[in-house]
Order: sequence, then C-alpha cells, then structure tokens
Amino acid sequence: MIKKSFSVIAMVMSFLIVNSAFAEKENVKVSGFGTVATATSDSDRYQFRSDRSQAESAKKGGLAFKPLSLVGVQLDYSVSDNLDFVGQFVYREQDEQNLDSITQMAFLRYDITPSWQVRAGRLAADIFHFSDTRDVSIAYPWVKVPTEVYGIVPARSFDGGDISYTKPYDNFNLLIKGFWGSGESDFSSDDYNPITFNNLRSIGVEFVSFNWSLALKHTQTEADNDDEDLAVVAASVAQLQPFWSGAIDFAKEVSLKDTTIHYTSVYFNRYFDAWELSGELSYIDSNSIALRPSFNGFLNLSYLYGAHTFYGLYSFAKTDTYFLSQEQPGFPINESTAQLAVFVEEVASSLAHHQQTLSLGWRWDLQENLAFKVQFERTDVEARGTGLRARDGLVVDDEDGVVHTLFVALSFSF
Amino acid sequence: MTFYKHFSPLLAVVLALYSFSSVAQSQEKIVVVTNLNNDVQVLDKKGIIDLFMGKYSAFPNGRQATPIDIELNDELKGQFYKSLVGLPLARVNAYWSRLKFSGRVKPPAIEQTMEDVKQRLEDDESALAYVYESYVTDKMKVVYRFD
Repeated sequence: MIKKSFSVIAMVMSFLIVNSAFAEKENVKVSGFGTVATATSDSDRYQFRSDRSQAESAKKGGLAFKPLSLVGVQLDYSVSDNLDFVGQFVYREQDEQNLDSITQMAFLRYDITPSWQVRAGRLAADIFHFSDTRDVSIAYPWVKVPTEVYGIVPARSFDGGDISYTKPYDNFNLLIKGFWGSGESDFSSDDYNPITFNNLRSIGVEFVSFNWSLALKHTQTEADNDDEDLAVVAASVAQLQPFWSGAIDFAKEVSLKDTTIHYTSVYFNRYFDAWELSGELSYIDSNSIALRPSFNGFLNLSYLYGAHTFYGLYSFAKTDTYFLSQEQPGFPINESTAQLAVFVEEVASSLAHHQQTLSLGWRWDLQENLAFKVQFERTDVEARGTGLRARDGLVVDDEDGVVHTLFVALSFSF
Repeated sequence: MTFYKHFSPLLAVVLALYSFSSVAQSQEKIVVVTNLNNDVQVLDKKGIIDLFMGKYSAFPNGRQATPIDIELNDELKGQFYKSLVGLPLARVNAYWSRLKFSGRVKPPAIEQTMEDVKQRLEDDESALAYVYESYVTDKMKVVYRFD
C-alpha cells in the first residue's frame, strides 16, 4: 500500500515537473550521479557484494560490474522560495526493477525559517553517517562506503517525514533532526520477500564546523514480518513445545516479527591541512537472535595532493559466534531435530557478521565532476561470520578465510 | 624542426602572456557582494562558509540569503572556493554532491556569466555573490574582502 501510494506520488510529481519544465525552466533542475565500476576477487567461496541486498557478486577470475555500477537522476523543482519537490531515481542492480524500487527519494521540502525545515515523502535513510548518500560515489574518496558498516543497513530510503533545526554558533553549527516513518528492507531472497519496518523513529545530533564534525544518530524500529525462511524455522521451533517447555518462548526469540531493532552510531571527521581523519562506530541490536548485538566501524586517513587523494581505510564488523547448545542448553538435539538445530544456528549467524578489511586506494579527480578510483582490499573473514560475502551454502559451514578484492571505478555527477 | 624554429619564439611569447595574464588575474582580489539595499553591512568568513557551503541559509539579520555561483568562470569560482575553504573545485563538487543528493540542502543558485551575476545582484535583494574587486559597481555592496 505504501509502495503504491509513493509510486503514484512519484509519477504525478514527475509528470508535473516535466510539464512545468516547459513553462518555468529556471524552477526545474535536473542533475544526477553515477558510477561505472568493476570488481574482481581471488575467492570463489567468499565473493564480494557491496551490501546484503545484492544477488550479484564478484568472484575469482572475472570482472563484475553489477555490484557497484549505477546511475541516478534527480529532479529539483522549486515551487516557491521556501517549498521544493525533490525526486531521485536510481537504477542499480536489485531484485525488482519498477518505479517504486528505483524511486530513492520523492519528497516535499519546506523551509519554515532558516533554522527550521520539514520534509515529507520518501526520504533517503539517515541511519548512519553515509546512509543517505551511499550510492553517490563522487561524494566520498573511496570506491564504496565501508561494507562492514553499511552492508547491513537494511534500506536506502523510508517513507515518512522529518523535521530539522539548525543553530549557528561562532565556531560550529548545531543540527538536530528527527524522523518518523516506515519502510521495507533491501534485503531479499530470490523470491523477493522484504521485511517491513514500522514505527521507525530516528534522532540525529550533529556538530559541524568546516574543519571538523561530530554526529550522533539513533534509530529504533519494529520489524513487521519475517522472511519466509525465518518464519519456517521459528514455526518449527515452536512445534518442539511438547518436548521442550521453552520452545515457544525461544521461537519468539528466533523470529524477527514484532522485534524492536536499534541502530546507533557516532561519526567524526577532522581536517589537518591536506590530511583528513574520519571514523565511525556503530552498534546494532534487537531482541531476536536473527539480529544479535553487533559492533561495526571504520577508521580512514586520506591525503589530498592536488587532484589526487590517497587513502587507507580499516573497517570491521564484530558479532559473537552463536552456538545453540551453549545458548539454549535445553534445546532437544537428536536425530530428528539435528537439521532444525543447524537452521536455528544459520538464522543466528547470517546477519552476525565477523570480518575486517584493510583497504588502500587512490582517487584522481580528472575533472570537477569526474573521478577515477582504484581500491585494493584485504578482508579477513571469521568462521560463521561471513554473511556480508555472497556465497553458496550455509554461513554456519563457513570457515576462516582471507579474500583480496580489487576495484576500479569512474564516478561522476552532472 | 623548421616548424619548431619558426614557432618557438611565438610559443614563448604566448606562454609568457598566458603566464602574465594568469598571474595578473590570480592576483586580483575577490570580494563578496550583496544588493546595495541589503541591510547587511559586513559578513565574517564563517558566515560566508555557512552560506556557500549549505550550512545555514540566512544572513545574520535572519533574512533569507541566496548565494550565487558562476557557471562559466572557473578561474574566479576556483579562486573563490580555494580562498574560502582551501579546496579545489573537484572537492567542492564532492562536498556538494553529498548535500544535494541526500536532499538536505538546495545548492547555490547558478548564473552563467559575470553580466548575469551583476544583473542578479541588482534585481535580487537576497543575492550574495563573489566578484573580482575591479568588477564592483556602485549598485553592489562589498560585505567581505579576502586578504
């Protein structure tokens, strides 16, 4: 229902804009961004994907363009000095391609005063620092945002509204923003079975100077459903109630449905002349074993030399390994439940990422709006913590491994 | 070889003239100007960074400001942003890409030429633009000078 209404809004607004464009050219601005990128990896087992929403991946002996290549078009229509419509449409690799799925943003922005602003419609997800621009590669030095932090962010946009307040001080500006809305996950299976997030509330506080910034964000939401696999496993666990008194309670823990999920992050950056140091720490948890407490983060050091930026980036995702026999000693493991026990552990492990990556890269600004980038990564994945990599088979069967990935990209805006 | 012999002095002169004009132009001071009727008398550097880098959208007196970028004069634009935030245009574009494509902020308005900027400053009381000092007319008010 939400999807349909936003498809209609996006279509109507786009139609109005195209018509208005002929009448008031200066009120309509068309711009965009894109990336043409390829990736290759030295592993068939732990293939690269930029986030969990992707079925396409880069593996050994081939060049994969789909995981990172995309193009986005943005329409900005000024209704008046204070009121604008913004529509953004991004074509990239994803399970479904239709107006709803490519509509990243479609909202009205109203500046009540220079300090107060409200926006309503489909807004870019603002969960962690780069969540709202993770596809805009020209905006950051790397080929992609760090997978360990952003690969698990469940959606690129949500439907709802936000209100923000900005207060300038002598040495910095204070920005406070609150959002309320709902949305669907990008995470999906071959059958396209997204998870719906209801009652999504987000608060962000940023202290911003030109030489430094500090941002704190917290988001809380309730998952409305399980994907099909998760629902089957939870239902199967509940059927153990005659043999184990804790089965129904544990089945609720297995399920994501009605679970409250928290996302919290702190980001900073600081410029020292040609150097920039930046980093982010994030924490995710819920009361379901499907999304167990996870620490993620990155630390980046960049050096700007003329049109060239050289950088080193360390990023990590850390979630404890889950063993059913330790967490639920009462779970009856026997011949007939052995397979179910494996599936429970798979549920508890597939979003429990445990890996770290060291990246070195170079960005060369060929023109004001065109950048060439090369990035080389070494990723150490831990057994049962490999969910960020695309692979065949179960996460619980995975072992420790080391993967190297090379990326080459052209990022542009227009 | 003959070509080089004949044209090398000419090339040297052209290069010298180009260097001279570049130096001459790069030495020309940039000022930030508003409409003559704007109440604002002076801005500090932080205020100009706020307005041109999308951090705040009003003058210190609370009135809405409209910063203007020039499209067809990369020399002036590049010199302005280098003086303002110490970044080349490619990095300024990267910075603005984040603000614009997240839908947070409307970027500066764009005028094509210096003549367009001049006209906009005359017509729009909220306009704020950067020009070479030699370009200031009696219909503009200088609110900031780069050293």
